[in-house]
Amino acid sequence: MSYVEAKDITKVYHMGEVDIHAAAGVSFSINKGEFVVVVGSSGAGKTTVLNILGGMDDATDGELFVDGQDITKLKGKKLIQYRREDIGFVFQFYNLIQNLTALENVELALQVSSDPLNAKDVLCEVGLEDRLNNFPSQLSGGEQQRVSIARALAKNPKLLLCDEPTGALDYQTGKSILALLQDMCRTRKMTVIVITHNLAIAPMADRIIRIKSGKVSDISINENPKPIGEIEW
Amino acid sequence: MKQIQRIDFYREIRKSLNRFLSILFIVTLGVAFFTGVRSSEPDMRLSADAYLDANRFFDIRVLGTLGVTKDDLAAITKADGVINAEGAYQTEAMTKVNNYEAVLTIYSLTETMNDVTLEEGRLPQDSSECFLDSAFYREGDYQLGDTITLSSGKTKTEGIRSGSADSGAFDSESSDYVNADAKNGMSDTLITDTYTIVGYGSYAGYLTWDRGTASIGNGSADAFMFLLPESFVQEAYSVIYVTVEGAQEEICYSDAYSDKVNEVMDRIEELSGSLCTLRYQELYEEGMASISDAEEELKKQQEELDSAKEKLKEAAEDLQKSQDQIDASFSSVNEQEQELQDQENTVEASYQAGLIDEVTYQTGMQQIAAGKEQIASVKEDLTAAQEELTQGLKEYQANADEFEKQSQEAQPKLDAAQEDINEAKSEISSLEIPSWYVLDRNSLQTYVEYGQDAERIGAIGKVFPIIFFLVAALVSLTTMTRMVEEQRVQIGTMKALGYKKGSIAAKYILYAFSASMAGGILGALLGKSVLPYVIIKAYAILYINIKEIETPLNWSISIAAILIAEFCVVAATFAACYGELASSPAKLMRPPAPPSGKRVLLERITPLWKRLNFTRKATIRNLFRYKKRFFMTVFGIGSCMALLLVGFGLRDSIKEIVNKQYRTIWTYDMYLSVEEKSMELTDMLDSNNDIDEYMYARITSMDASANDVTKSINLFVPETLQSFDDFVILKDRTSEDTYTMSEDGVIITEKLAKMLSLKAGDTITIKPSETEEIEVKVSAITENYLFHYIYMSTAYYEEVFHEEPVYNRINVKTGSLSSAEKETLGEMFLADAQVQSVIFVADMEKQISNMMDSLDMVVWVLIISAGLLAFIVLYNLNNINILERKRELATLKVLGFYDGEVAEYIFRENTFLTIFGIIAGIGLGVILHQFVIRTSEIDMIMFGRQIKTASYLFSVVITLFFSTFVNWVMYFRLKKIDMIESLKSVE
Repeated sequence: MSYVEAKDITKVYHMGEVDIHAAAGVSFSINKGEFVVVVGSSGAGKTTVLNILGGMDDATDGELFVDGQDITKLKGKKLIQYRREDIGFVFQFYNLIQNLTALENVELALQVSSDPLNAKDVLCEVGLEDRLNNFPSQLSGGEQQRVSIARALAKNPKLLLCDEPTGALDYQTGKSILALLQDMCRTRKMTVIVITHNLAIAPMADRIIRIKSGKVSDISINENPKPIGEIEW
Repeated sequence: MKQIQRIDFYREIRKSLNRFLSILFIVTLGVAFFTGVRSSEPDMRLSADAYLDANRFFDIRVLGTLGVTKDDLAAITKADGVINAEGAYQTEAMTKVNNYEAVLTIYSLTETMNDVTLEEGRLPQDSSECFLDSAFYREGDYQLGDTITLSSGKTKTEGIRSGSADSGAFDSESSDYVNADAKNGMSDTLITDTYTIVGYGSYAGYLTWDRGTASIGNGSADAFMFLLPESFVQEAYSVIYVTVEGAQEEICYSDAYSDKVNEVMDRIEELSGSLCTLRYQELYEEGMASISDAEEELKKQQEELDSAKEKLKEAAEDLQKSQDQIDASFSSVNEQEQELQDQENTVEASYQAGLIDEVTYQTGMQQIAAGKEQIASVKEDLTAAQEELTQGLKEYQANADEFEKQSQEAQPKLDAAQEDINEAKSEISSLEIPSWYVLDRNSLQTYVEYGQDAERIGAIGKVFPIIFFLVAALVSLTTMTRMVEEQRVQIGTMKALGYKKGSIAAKYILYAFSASMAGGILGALLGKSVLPYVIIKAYAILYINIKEIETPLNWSISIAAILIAEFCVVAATFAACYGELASSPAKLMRPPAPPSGKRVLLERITPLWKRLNFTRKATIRNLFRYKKRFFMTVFGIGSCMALLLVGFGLRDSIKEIVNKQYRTIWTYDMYLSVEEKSMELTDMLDSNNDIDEYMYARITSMDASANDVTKSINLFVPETLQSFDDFVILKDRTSEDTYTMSEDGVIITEKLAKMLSLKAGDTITIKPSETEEIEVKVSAITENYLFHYIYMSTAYYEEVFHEEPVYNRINVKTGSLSSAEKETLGEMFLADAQVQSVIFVADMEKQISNMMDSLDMVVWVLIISAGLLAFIVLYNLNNINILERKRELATLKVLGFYDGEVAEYIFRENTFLTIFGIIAGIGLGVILHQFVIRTSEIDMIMFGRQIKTASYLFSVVITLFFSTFVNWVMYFRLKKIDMIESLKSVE
């Protein structure tokens, strides 16, 4: 079995008398240490997949195995534990705690993790060795996203989930963030899943999952992923 | 507002019902509390008014120093503004009940006013029936049909007034004219001494258990009684009751009412001049007539006595005359006899000398013998006459003796009659033109007390609602600020679309306006009925007669409250909108710059800061980041804490009075009122085993003044200073330094010193009578809670009064006695004619503490209000806090924080805020407590100034409880926060 295995996941929202099928049988598999890009247009269902994958929402039906554990069966505290131990999350809008410095924001995540990395090391790794004691408001968007990535990485998760990580950033900064993510994936053998509507970055991924109308329309394996520096959009 | 804006407005309310309701409820609470507490004062008055009107209670009563007559009544009835007047009799009597002599004030029933309320039985229909005080009926364990026997009691002595003050009766200005007399029967005032109880109930003249003062017994009345007017034999009415035209329509205690009544009082005062003169003349003439009758009678008796004496004298003279005649006759007879003897001798000698012949001799001798014979018979007659005379003398002597005896007996009687006449004369010459006392209801102690109680509630109502409004304003401010912030983009869009500022702001202002209006109306309706009802119900424990509670909607107060609330909320909303509306649309449509994190002072203390974990660091920084919320919460919790503290503190202060006064200041167990110190009393006290220690003292009440303020005080002069501190502890309240009385100064009580602005070393003027003024030096100020006292040593008393004090009180310390032992002891003392009353301190203490219990309810009202306030404020703030930080909290959840950890993140802040709030609340509460106490205490009483540690603890625990409870409710809201929030863009 692959490291991540989704089998026929469905998600139905009941809105009054209407049922909305946000995910209508999503199946895919991801191997450990892969850099995966999930693409799809707005409303295609990629966020639903992300939510279920990140343990933030439960599936209506189907199975999702992460490192052999069926997370659709997890409830309550077990589910939180899954988020706590296995998932690193990078938000589109960084979601840093405004009142904590860069270092403290990373440490915040560490204190709920059982096998964390050293916060300072991770921040140095993402290139913020000079900004450790700065508050989010004193950092640029790119820097904030680096903190966010550091916060996710420092937990030493099984999966690094990134929701439009470049969505709020300008082109160059976005590129550098993606480069950082790719780099982390390669050096740390981290499984990174980036969710985006930007098809242009697909070439950098090991695996590309296309989602359309709540279904996986195509999964392609990229034998020779390009470094982000070589991709333009 | 355009059609679409209106749709938006209604949807806004529906969508944010929580917010709408939080403003609504805080306004409800504020307005309810304001109207409630403010209405309590007028409602209390209204309830009293309804009760008094229902019983047709008098507006004015007229008492005369020499009574009031039917003519007076007729004149008063005719006076302008008087719609009804009725004369009545009044007297005082004593009756033996349980173990004491109870003093009864006896009234005659009136037909057209002053109704009594029957509890059971019927009103008297016969001159030997009575209607009795229901409290006394129960106390004496009487049954309908029982009889009650009255005696007139002892006369009042000068020290008595203090007795009434000590027994808890606050000094009243009433000066009843009562025809009490010193003899034992009631015959001077009533037709009989014994009456059958046919009914019992209450009388509006007494609103509480207090029965006022009396001029007999120990000076305070214990009960009242009503008889038919026929039961009285008084020559004039004691009192005329008057109802004033239009006064019933006014609420008693109101200015309008007093204006109406005062006007009529003035008119009656005017009448009094001529009528009093008339009454004087009537009494003067009556008196003079009886004096002249008595004088005539005396004169007649004197004359009779004199004529008897005269006759006796004549008889003696007659007797003397007869004696003289007899004596004269005797001597002439003796002379004739001598002459005859001489003749015989001459004849004999002539015959012997032969000068005369035998015949001549014989004839001569015969003639002489015949003469002798004649003389002898005359002598015989004389002797008989003498005998007769001697008999007459004897008779005369007997008569004279008899007269002497009778006249000696008659003289003192005559003298006494003369003295009586003299007395009557001097009485009549000292008969002054009588005066009237025209009194309104303010001459009734309990009526005044009730008014003061209402005022005291009013005083509380002045401070507390302000806190509620401030909190309401602050809550609205934060809530509306939050709302406007949330809708920045919408405001920007509207502006960009070309809507005017005013029309955009209208939505928010209207939102706040309608929430506060709905809350205000709800609050006014709730407040007007609930709070006054509870408060008056609490006071009804004391004012037992007032059973119907009136809580009408008080328009002016309600509208004022709603307007104030509207103003606070709308102004807060305007302030919230103003900043945003001033910004350019472009700026509004960009997300606001997130408030930047800041280092706080604490971080400089690196060793400490390092030990904190990150949530703790965030907590501390958050506290200082959201300054408005910090202030709001601290103020909200602080207010809750302060209100609780005031509530509990008020309770402490009130309880303290009884506790401190009766336990730590007055340490004796009982006291006896006596007329003066005597050997028998001393012997009796010395020989009693139950008595550990006793002390004679003089307690008199009089006025004292300084700095243009005059107060009624009790002058306390202990016989000895040696054991004085075993009975009364004089000490400074704060420093606990004890004082002893000196020979050149007095010690005065604290409240008195405060009211007269006196300190040690100043001079106070005491007025033992209207005309006397004595200046004394204040040497110290002592702790005291009930009534005003001036303590003076005997030596100083003698110096300033130039006389020895007459001791009228005996303070007694007993060991601990069972109630049966107490009763026996009390009975034993009362059996002694010299003891006027026996009062146990424990009984007094109980009585006063019962009275104070009614204030407890008011305290509970405060405590519950404080709790509600805390709940609404905390709920609202937490709500805003969570709304504002939804994203942050959702992020924490995504990061894998357990629900408990997320809650902790928020609650730790709340805990800190609660602690800050509690600290602030203690400060605020202590200040507020002092203020409330100073404004709500009455003249005669000083409330305790201290809040007990337990009250601090209770307040803290209750505040923490509310805070925890809100947090517990919030926990479920936190659980519901959707993690998807974290994915949304910043609004």
